[in-house]
Amino acid sequence: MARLEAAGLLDRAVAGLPDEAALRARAAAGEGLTRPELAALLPFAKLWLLDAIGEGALPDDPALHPLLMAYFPQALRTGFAPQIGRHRLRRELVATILANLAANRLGPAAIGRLAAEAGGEAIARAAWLAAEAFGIEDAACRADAAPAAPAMRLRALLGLRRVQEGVARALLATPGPLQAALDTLRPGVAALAEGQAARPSPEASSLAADGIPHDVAVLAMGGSRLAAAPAILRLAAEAGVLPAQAAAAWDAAGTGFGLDALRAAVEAARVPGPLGARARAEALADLAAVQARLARARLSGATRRPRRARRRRCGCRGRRRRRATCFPPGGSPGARRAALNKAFAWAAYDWANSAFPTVVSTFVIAAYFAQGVAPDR
Amino acid sequence: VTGQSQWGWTQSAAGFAIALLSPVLGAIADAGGRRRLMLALATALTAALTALIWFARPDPAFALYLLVCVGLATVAFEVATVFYNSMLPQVAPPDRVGRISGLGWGLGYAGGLACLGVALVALVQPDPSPLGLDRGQAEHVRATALLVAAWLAVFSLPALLALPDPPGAATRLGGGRAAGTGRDRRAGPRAAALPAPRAVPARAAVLHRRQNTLFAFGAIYAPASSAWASPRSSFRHRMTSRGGWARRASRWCEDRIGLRARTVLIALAP
Repeated sequence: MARLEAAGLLDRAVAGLPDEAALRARAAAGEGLTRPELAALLPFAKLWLLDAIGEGALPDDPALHPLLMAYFPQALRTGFAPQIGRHRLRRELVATILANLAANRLGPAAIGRLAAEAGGEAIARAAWLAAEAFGIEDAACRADAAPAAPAMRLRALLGLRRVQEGVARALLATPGPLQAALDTLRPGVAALAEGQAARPSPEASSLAADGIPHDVAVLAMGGSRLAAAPAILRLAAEAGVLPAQAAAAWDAAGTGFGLDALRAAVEAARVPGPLGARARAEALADLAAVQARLARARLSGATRRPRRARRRRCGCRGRRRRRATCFPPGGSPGARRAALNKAFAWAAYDWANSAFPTVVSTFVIAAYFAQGVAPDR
Repeated sequence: VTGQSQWGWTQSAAGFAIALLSPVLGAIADAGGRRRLMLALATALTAALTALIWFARPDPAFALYLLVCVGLATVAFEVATVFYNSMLPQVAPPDRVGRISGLGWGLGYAGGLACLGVALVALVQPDPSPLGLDRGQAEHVRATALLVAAWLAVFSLPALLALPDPPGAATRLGGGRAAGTGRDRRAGPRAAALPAPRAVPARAAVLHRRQNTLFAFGAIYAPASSAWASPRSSFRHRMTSRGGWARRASRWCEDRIGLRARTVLIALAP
């Protein structure tokens, strides 16, 4: 809300939303915003997204063309397809549709969290990619239409929202045209989703038993596991292995080092203050990076004796020297030696010039001046 | 009190001059420039001004002379440091900046202590002096200035000889100065090679300045308020060695955690 106010979009008093003090009181009582308040906030989140999208190049991405086409009635689509592509308001239309999709599915709270990490355009982009890659939109519609109790449907929708937010967060920095990004994601996502469907979690099974379609239940209860999909796929591409193998290594690293528990703790931690959300995001990103590194090491089979292996590659003897000065990791022994010599030559200057502050400005000459040259009277 | 306050004013004036000079010089240095030449000149100037302290006899008439020497030497020293620091990217790949720089700090503290030790053992303490220094004229203390000058000149040679200017550096000072005033974008990519370029000087400035102040005044108060510091003054040892370890620890943290906002975040997040 503070962000929206800063952007000049929102006036809480006018919109009937609680001010900071009231929010703090509610947070202390463990309460959040009420449904009507969320409903009042949603359009502002959309406006903010719309502004951000409208300024960038995102609406011109060819992968979004189907969105534009779908906006027009069937009759126009068949007869006037080229004209639609040249419609004067096409950018505005696409931006509006994207903003609506992202805000409706993710909700203002998730957008607020993502906004701590990226701009509106990147959020809309990542939200669209996540939804497309996992078929969130379709799954959400089917969950909504399922013959299940309202509470169960809500649970499934909330699960889908969580998955989309997690995936979108991982995709915030995806560069390049949308279609290319999607093409690299899709096969891996399909493989991962299959693996997930083959051994559904207990939550997913119970949800499916209550009438939610099985695949939707699996997707909705995928949680942080599916949110890690982009990282797993990156890992698979880097290590040159199948997505399933990368996922197995990822999971092994997560359980073996207790990273999953850490992640759950970070997600559950209360992080007040303006930097709290950002700190949490950084902590999660760190965890993901650590997990990716561990999984990669596992895939390359280097986990057995890492210390020995690294020392050999480095070519230095002794633990201390290795840690202090071994660089660069590659290169010929001669190049390494030259680099090391340079580093020591550079550092030797510190040995030389520290004599001045120590002897002159601090101990000997300073005392000589205060006592010998200009003594107290 | 006169001596202490005069010394303090000189340090402040030197600090002020450095505060004005170093952003400009730093930008020139980072943009390439002739770092080695500048480093050599600044070092030579520091050594020469330090050597001139030898002529300051224990007489209030020499107070101004000594303060001018020390003040100018301090400015030259800091200018040299600016160029010295700008050479760090030449010797350290981005992921090792913290460690190499920490190596420098470690050697720096060792060097400072070593020079102090040599000064005390070889010059200040022996009575009568084997070198024929006249204690009545405080020559045994003044000679430490010559020692520091020689120390600087000799031990700065490896860096000056082994580290040529990087290829493609601006050959004329003019090119560097344009960058120094911030109108030349060429400084951008080079600076970007360092992790979070702005964080390094900011953190270093705070830590460095605070410690310098602590040291400078801590030591000048100590001998004035008690007897002239004994050679094994625990105060001196504690200050120097603990400072070294604190800095090394902070350097290590840099490489471990990364310099970016994360360090701050870790400090701020509950």
